[in-house]
Amino acid sequence: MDNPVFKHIMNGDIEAYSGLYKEYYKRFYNYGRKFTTNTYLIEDSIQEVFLDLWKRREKLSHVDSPNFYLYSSFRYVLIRKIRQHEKMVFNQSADEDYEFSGEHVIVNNDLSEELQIKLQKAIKTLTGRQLEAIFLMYYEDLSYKEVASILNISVKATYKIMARSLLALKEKFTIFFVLFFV
Amino acid sequence: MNKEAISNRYLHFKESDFLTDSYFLEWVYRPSAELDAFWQQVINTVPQQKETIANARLYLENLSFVTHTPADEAITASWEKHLEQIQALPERKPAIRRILLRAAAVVAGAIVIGGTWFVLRSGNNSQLVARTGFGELKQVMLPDGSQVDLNANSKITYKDREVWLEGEALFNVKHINSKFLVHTKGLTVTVLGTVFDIRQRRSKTEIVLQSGKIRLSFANGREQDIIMKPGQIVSYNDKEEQSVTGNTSPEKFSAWKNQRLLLQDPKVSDILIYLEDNFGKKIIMEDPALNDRMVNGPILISSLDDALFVLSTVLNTEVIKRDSTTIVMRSRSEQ
Repeated sequence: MDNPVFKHIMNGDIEAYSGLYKEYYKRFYNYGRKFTTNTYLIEDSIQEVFLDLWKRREKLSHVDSPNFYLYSSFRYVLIRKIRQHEKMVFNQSADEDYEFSGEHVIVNNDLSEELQIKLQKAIKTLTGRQLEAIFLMYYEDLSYKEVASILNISVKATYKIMARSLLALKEKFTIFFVLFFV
Repeated sequence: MNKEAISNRYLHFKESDFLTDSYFLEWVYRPSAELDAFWQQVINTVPQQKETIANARLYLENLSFVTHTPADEAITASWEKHLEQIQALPERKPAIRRILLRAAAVVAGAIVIGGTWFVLRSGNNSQLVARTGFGELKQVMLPDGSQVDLNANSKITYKDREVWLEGEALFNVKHINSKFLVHTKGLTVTVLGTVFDIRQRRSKTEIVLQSGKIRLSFANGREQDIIMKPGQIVSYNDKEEQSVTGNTSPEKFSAWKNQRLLLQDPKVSDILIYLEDNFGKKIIMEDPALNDRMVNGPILISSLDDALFVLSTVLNTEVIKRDSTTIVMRSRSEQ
């Protein structure tokens, strides 16, 4: 149990819990918006994850990484809700995969215009899962293993995804690197 | 890691390999003296990889994601909703409940006075919404025990003895030691235990007090508050931002509750506007002269057909349904 806040929650401390809720609300909102613009689904998912967390608070001592626990729950619930919603509204098949959207990737605009265009193009070749793996690892303080588990893929596959995505980037950038570093 | 191990591991790394290396990612994103030392050692051991490492760094440093930030109000509202949900769960230990109560007072303190919050809480949601369709009436019992008769085409949103009203409703407010507020477009009614009717249609809001005492406050800030007495009617036009106070019969004003329409000195045009607002149809009087006629006596408004039947008999017109949304009243020919 690495998170003291979790300990407070196990003891029923509402003030600590409020802080945790609000903190994760921001993070899950940010994460969830990469999948859907429907903020109601995000809100509902956050409510469901935390209601479940609260109900189980006395059994949380087995949770090694609260961050990981919350992220994997949230992703699971959100994707389920998006699926249900899409099925109801657009009659989409339930097997449709709902992915992290690449439109939210930003390329640093300190780069030259030429370089920015190249990086944009490279990003377009990445899959949603490849981007999501990067997002989670770089921004959400999760380990490789945890990301793999959240995305429901083996650790090996995570390495592959990372390698593939960055390889794709590298190929797009070969010319640039030649220019820049030679 | 010794030199040989480093060389074995990193000598043939490409940029993409570095970017999947957790040590490397940590070095870029969560730097520390230990990681600095390790990577300096790698560069010293395999200097031919210096450029590849620089490239990999550049990749990572120029890639980021849009940040979506929720509104502070959304976060607070979500937390409050969650807090209510967990409080509605069956209890396990009394100790937890005490803590919950204290925290609830902190969270809800801005809106609620004192410890009434738990008394008022009825279901899982603090915010209740009730609405009626065209031609539909509804009786709503609020969590605090107050009663609301909702006229057709109306909506109330309730939270902690505060109501936001669109349309018309008759309030019978339970008197407890806390304020009851009703907000409409342009004004707020503060209730001090009472029965009153608010009719907010188009740009006009009318309030009729049956019993008790209420205070009206206007959103424009220019009109003075009005303390109303039973039997008074205040009519406020939010385009002209002016209020007119007069006397009326509260029972007649709220006769809609019993599916009757009893307007004061009602012109045909007033009745037609009322019917349009409550039944959602456009009603056109072909002969404009008829619009100014007075029609006294109650009009049965259990349905639009009933109401129009009464009107057309009095006015000697026929009722023509032009399409699904428009009704025309045409004078019958003389013969």
